[in-house]
Amino acid sequence: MSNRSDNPAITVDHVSRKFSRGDKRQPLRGAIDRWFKRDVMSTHDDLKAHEFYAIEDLNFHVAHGEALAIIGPNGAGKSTTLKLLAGIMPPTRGTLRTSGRVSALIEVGAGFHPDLTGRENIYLNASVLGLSRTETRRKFSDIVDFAGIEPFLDTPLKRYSSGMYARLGFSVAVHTEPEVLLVDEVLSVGDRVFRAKCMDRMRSFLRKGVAIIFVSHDLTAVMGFCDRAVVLDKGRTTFTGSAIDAVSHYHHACTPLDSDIAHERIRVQLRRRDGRTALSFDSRERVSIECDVPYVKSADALFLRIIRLRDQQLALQTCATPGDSNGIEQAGPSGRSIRFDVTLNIPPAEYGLQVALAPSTIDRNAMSWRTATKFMMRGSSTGGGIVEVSPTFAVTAM
Amino acid sequence: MTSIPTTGYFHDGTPQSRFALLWRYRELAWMLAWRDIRVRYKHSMLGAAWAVLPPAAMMLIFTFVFNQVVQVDRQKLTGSEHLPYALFAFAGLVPWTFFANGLTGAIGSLVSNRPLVTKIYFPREVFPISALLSALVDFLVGMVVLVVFGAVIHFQNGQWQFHPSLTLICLPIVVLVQVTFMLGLGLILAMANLFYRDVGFLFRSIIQLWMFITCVIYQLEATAVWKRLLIHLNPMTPIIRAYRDCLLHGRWPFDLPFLGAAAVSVIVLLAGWRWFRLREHEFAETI
Repeated sequence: MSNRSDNPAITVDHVSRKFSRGDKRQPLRGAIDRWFKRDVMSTHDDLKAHEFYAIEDLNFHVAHGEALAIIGPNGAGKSTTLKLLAGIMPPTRGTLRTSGRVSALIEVGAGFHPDLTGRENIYLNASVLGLSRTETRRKFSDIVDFAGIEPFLDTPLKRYSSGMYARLGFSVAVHTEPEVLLVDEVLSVGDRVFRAKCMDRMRSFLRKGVAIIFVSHDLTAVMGFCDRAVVLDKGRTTFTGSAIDAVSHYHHACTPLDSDIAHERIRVQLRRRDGRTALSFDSRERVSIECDVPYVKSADALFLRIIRLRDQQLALQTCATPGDSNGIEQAGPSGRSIRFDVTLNIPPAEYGLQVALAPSTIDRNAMSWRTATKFMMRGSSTGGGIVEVSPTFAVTAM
Repeated sequence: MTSIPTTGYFHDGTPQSRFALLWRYRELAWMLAWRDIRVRYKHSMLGAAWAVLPPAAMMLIFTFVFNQVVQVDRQKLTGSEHLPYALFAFAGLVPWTFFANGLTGAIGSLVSNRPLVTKIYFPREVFPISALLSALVDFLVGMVVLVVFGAVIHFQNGQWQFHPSLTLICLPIVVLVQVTFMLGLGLILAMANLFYRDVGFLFRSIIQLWMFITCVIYQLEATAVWKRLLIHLNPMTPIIRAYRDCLLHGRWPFDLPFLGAAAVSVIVLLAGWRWFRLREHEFAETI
C-alpha cells in the first residue's frame, strides 16, 4: 500500500497452475503417502497423464486506478486466474502479488441463506466479504438503496426474484471498499438500469485508485470499461494490449458467439449502375450494395435489410450464405466483399440499410442489426405501401 | 521451486501471525454460528428448547432404565449416596451433547460450506470454529437449565444439598479444555471428511460408542488396568468428571487424569491446526 503510484496494485509473474482431470482422491495407499507430503503435484514441467495446465506462464500487472479485462472462451483459465488472485488456491509456479484489500466478486451473494431475511443476509454476506458489523451498520442504508429492495428487507431471501437476489449480492459487494476488485461475470444478472448503476460504481472505484480485473463475455462492456485486456485461450496468453485490440484479436482467434465487433467493421457502399457511389436514388433504379465483411469464423452469413426510417417498415430483407453464388466462401483471411444487386422498388422516403453478421442458422428474430448507412429515394409517390408499383393508367369510356 | 504468493494466505506464517489473521475473522465466525443457530430453530415451534430437549430426553430414559428397569445401586452408579441419578446423568449429558453436536457440526462444516470454500477466501479454520460456537450456545443454554434443575432438587429433596462452592470458578477452565480438545479434533476431522466422506459416516457410529466408554451416564471407577487405560486415553472421561466435580460435588477437578486430558487436548489442537494449515491449499479444488 505504500508508494501507491509506483507499485502496481496487482502483479502476476510467470504464474502457472496445474490441475488433475477427474477426482484427486486416490486409493487409500496413495492417499496415505500423499497426506504426509507437502507438495502433491509435481512443480516440474512434465505433466502426468491426468494433469493439465489451466493457466500457463501468465504475466500481467494492473496499476492503481486501472481496469484490466481478461477475455477468452470457456475453459480459457479466466476464473482460475481470479481464484489464484483471491487466494482461494495457490499457483503451481510463479508469484502473484496484490496490495490492499482484495474483494472477489466471483459469486454474488456468497454465504446467502435462503431462510434468512434480506436484512440478515446483508450482515452475513458483508461479514463474509470482510466487513465488520459496525462498518455494515454504517453502510446499511446505502446498501439497501443501491439494491433497491427496501420493501423486502424483512422477507426471507427464498421469496426474492433472481434479479433482486443478484442486486442485493452485488450491492453488498460494492460497499466493501476494496483496493483490488475481481469481477467475474457477475454483471450479467440484473436489468439494464442496474447494470448501468454497477458500471458507474466501478468507474468511481477506478477514480479512487482501485485496481479492477474484469472477466466478462460481454465484449461491449469490456471495451467500454477497460483500458487493457489479456486474451486467454486454453490457459495460454494469446494477446495482451489495449482492450479494443484484444477484443478484435479474440474475434479473429477464437470462435466468437457475439459478432458485435465485426459488425462495426462492415463497410457498406451503394453504387449506381455507372459505378459511382451515391446516397439517393430514383425509384426503380438498379443499385449495387457492396459490403466489405471481416472474417469471422462462426458467423458465415451476412444479413441485409432495408427499413423505412419514418415508420420502421421493413422494405427488403436478404442474406448471403456460404452456398450462395455471391461467393461468401471465397473469403480471404482478412475478409471478403459481397455485392448484392437489387432493384429498389420502394416509394420515396428515407431508408436505413442495416447489416448483421451471424451464423446462417441463427434465429432471425434474435439478430442484432446495425444501421450501416442511410439513403433517400427520390420522386413523388402515387400511393402508400412499401412497394413502389408505378402504375400506368389506361382510361376508357364505358 | 514453488514460490509462495503474498496474496491469499498460503504462507507458512508463524502460528502467532495465523492467530492474528483468525482474530480478524472472529466476527465472521460468530456470524456463521449465528446463521446456523438462526436457521436451525427458525421453523420450529419449540425453538431454542431443542437445545435442551435431547439431553433431557436421554436423562429421562437412562433414569428410567437404571432406577426402574435394572435398579442399579445409586452409590455404585454415581459415586454418591444422595446425589439423584437424574441430576448426575444430566450433568454428564449436557457437556456430552455439546461434544457430540459440536464435532458432528465441525466435521461437516467445510463440505456444507462448499460455495464459500470455493469462491471466497478467509482462513478455513473459521468453518469448524463457527460450528463449535453454534454448539456452544446450545451448551450454555443447557448449563443454565442444569443449574436450575440442580436448584430445584436442592429445595425439593432434603437429602442432597447443592453447595454453591468456590469450585464453580473452575467451570470455565473445564469448558476451555473441552473446547480445546474439540477444536483440535474438529479441525482434523473436518479436513479428513473433505477428502474422504467416510469420516463423517464413521464418526456418527463412533460417537455413540464413545459415549458408553466415557463416564457420561455412570461413574467409571479406575481400579482395573484396562479401565485406567480407557480413562487416560480418552480425554472426555476426566473432562466429564470434572464438570460433576466442580458443579455437583464441590470438589476441585484438577486431578492427574484431568491434567493429562488438558495436555492431550493442547497437543491435539496444535497438531491438528498445523496439519490443517498444511493441507488447506488443496481444499478448494478437492472439495
